Amino acid sequence: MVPLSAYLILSALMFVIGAVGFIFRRNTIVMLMCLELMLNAVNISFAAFSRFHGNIDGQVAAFFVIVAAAAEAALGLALIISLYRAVKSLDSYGPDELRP
Amino acid sequence: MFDQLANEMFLVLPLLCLAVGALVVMMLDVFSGSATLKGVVTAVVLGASIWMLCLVPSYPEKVILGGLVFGGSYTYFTALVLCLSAFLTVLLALNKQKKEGPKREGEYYTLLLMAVAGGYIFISAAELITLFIGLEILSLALYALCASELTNRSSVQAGVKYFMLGSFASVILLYGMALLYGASGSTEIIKIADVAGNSSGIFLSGAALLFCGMLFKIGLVPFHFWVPDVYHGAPTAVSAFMASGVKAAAVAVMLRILWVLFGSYAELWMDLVWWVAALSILLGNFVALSQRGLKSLLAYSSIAHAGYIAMGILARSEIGGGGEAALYYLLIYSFMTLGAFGVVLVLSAAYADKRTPDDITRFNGLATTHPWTAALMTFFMLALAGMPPAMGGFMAKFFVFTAAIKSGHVGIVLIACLGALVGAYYYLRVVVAMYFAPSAKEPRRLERDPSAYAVLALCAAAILVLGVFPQVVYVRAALAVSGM
Repeated sequence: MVPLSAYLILSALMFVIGAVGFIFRRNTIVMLMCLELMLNAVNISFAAFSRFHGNIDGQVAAFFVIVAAAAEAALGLALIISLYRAVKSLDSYGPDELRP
Repeated sequence: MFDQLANEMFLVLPLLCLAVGALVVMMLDVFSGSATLKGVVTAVVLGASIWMLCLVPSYPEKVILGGLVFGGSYTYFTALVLCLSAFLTVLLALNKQKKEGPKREGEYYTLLLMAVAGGYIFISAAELITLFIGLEILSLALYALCASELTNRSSVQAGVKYFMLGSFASVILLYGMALLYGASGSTEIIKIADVAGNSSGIFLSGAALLFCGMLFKIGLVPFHFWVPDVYHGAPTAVSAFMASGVKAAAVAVMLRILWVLFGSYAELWMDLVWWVAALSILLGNFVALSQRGLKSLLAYSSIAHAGYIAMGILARSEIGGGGEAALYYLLIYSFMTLGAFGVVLVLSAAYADKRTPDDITRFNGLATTHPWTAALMTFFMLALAGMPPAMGGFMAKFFVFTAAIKSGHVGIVLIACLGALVGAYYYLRVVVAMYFAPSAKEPRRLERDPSAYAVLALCAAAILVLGVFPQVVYVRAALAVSGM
């Protein structure tokens, strides 16, 4: 029997790896991948807690998170394509017109 | 059973109206090419939900639809602010959407309605999964709206930037929710609040993550850095909606989370909110001093105003009355910022091909060429600065400051007064440019735009009337907060 803490540590580790990747990488596609990693880390937490408490709420939450993650990925890729068309770069800090 | 369900469906009728309306506009886009028609249908849908929200009698918050959402005065009041600002945003940009090149206005209106529907779910959510879904519907629609001017580089960059940082904040918020669920075994806000007494490490870290995510969504220091970039790059109407309606929704949820969910931890978050509010007021006002673009200036000013509203959250007590002060401030601030962004929209349409259509020099000599526009802008600037002729802005600050003093937070009121003093300088700089700076050489041609001017006049009238008769709103706000 794997204890709850093992799942939580795995989830926290995955979350931190995703967060570090998100903060230090500049490529928008890699950043999107890091976001997905973090979402799945949260899903592990939800599933583990659901099992621990013996109620179904956490598993339902995990399913909703999967749906939201899919929507987010679809929109993110669409935005990245339009970014590439506009500035010919995938860099999130590329030729920057945002500075007023 | 079915009677009860039917009754409860009646209570979420405004939400159903918004959701169905979004689908209707989407289908209309297939069959009709008329941009004005789609805009008018969107306005009618929003108007209908505003009408329904006004009609609902006031009663305390209760959980409906099997524990999914709250229904009650607090939900309806804040949803009203959200729908009202979306309604005014639609009318503001009606003309602009009509004449813009690639035919995308159907998507624009559909996304706007979806954002409002998501915001409504976000506001009324009674459990964490619903809260997250509402937030995602709101945010995803907004990311797309920010990037909706696909030929404009800064719009697309703003969209991508908002998407990346916003999703990051959503994930942090979600991790907080997972930990809260782990600590309490339930996703319902009221049940979590019941077990909140035992402060385990998991519960506290979940609460901290949730708090950070909410700060980001409102745009408070230290998670404010996206606000200027996104407001500057996004289409002006979208920036106006984000500054008014979306901020209102986020503040409403923050208030509910802090007061209902973490009500028993008031000592813990009180200090945090104190610092957040103080830093937001100082940073927003001082950095706004050096801004040349009006949209960036309004963005920093919105950070500062979020700080003032957070002061209301701080004054949590029966005598303080911080909740109703914050709600009143939210409503008046929506009118002020919509008006100010509206003038920028009307004016920058004349310079749309230039790199900086919203530069402050575009306002030079506006009073001689367009005295009415200049007078409206002056009124909005005075309201944002909180000066008496624009009574609404003055009363909003007055209520928040009074609430903070009554509940014993004198220090932050001094900081806020300093912030307001600094704020007056940069708001009045715009007025000085309009009335005293010589006009630019190139002629300025503002188009006839009756719907936008109607919105500007309505905002100004609302600020004036609600400032002179604040009790109209204040009593309803007080009822809403007391039933929370």
